[in-house]
Amino acid sequence: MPLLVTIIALAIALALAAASFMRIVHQGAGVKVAHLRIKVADLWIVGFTLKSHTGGFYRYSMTHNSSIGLVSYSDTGYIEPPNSFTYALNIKPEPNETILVNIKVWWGEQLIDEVNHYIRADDE
Amino acid sequence: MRRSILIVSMLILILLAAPIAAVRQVAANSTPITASVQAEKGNDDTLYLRRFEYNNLTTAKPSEEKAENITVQVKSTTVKRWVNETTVPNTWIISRGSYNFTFWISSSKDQGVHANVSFTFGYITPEGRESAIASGFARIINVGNSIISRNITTPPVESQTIGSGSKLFIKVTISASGSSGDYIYFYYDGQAQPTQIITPQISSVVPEFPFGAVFLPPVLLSAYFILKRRTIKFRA
Repeated sequence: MPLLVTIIALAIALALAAASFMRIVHQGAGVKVAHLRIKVADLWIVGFTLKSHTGGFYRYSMTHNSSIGLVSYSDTGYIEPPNSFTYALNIKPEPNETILVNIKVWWGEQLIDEVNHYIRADDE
Repeated sequence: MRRSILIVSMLILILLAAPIAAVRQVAANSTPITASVQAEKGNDDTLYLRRFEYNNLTTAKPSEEKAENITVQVKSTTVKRWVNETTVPNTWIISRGSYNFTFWISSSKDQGVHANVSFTFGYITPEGRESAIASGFARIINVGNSIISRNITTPPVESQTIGSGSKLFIKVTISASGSSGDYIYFYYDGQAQPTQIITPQISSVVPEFPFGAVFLPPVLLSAYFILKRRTIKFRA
């Protein structure tokens, strides 16, 4: 009976240690950028969601060529897990206009993602 | 020998009681018991950009008839931040959902003055660091000299956890383009121009009492002594 209790106790301790180890491994899994492109009525929402299992600084930039010229915006921020950061550009292209949207995301000093969106008013 | 094995086993179990309780606490945090923070947030999830002594972000609607305005000259950029006075007491959870920023704007000329407006909503940590949750950007072509309202929306944003001691904030960046000498006017804190952000529901996490950590060790010790007494009686 005592031996059985000892074995059960050790098994629980081992399971807890394994769970902690898996959590540490999972935390180091890295940074994820998910891009989004949604049309709501005549409005386009273009952007991304940044998520990381570890805290850190990021930077992003957005440029797009509207009918009156080039528009650019950039900012920096800090992400605290388990939270995420979502960026959303709201644009309404003119009829027959194609807007090129370029989005870049850096994690620390490293460029981790870049994407181009071509947005047209009549696209679905 | 058997007695010492039994004691060692019980000690291991007692030592495990605290980590088990901690794991339970973490599990409780992942599926928190929440209560709406109506007292801090008012009747809905709307936060208004106000003036007072400094730029406040409050649940109370603007009471002034005349709105405040920020003047932005063409080819320049202005950044302003509004902070909520309430410090997060325990933990707040912002549910998954969209963030909608509504603002009022006009320009010094009817045609040819354009504006770029962006907002960033997030929280300031107790260490004073800004942690952004959602940001939106919109370009308004030919703003015009009548005051108009515009809205910037985000797609659904994942649920967010805001730690104790943090404060909510919104940062607004406005820039203007067009002919030199023209201006953009950004309005807020007025009855007719209640510039605001609507967030998903914000709830407060009610901390769970750590029953496991407090009660499990004495329960195990009692069980050990009861079993020990019974064993001695049985042998006698």
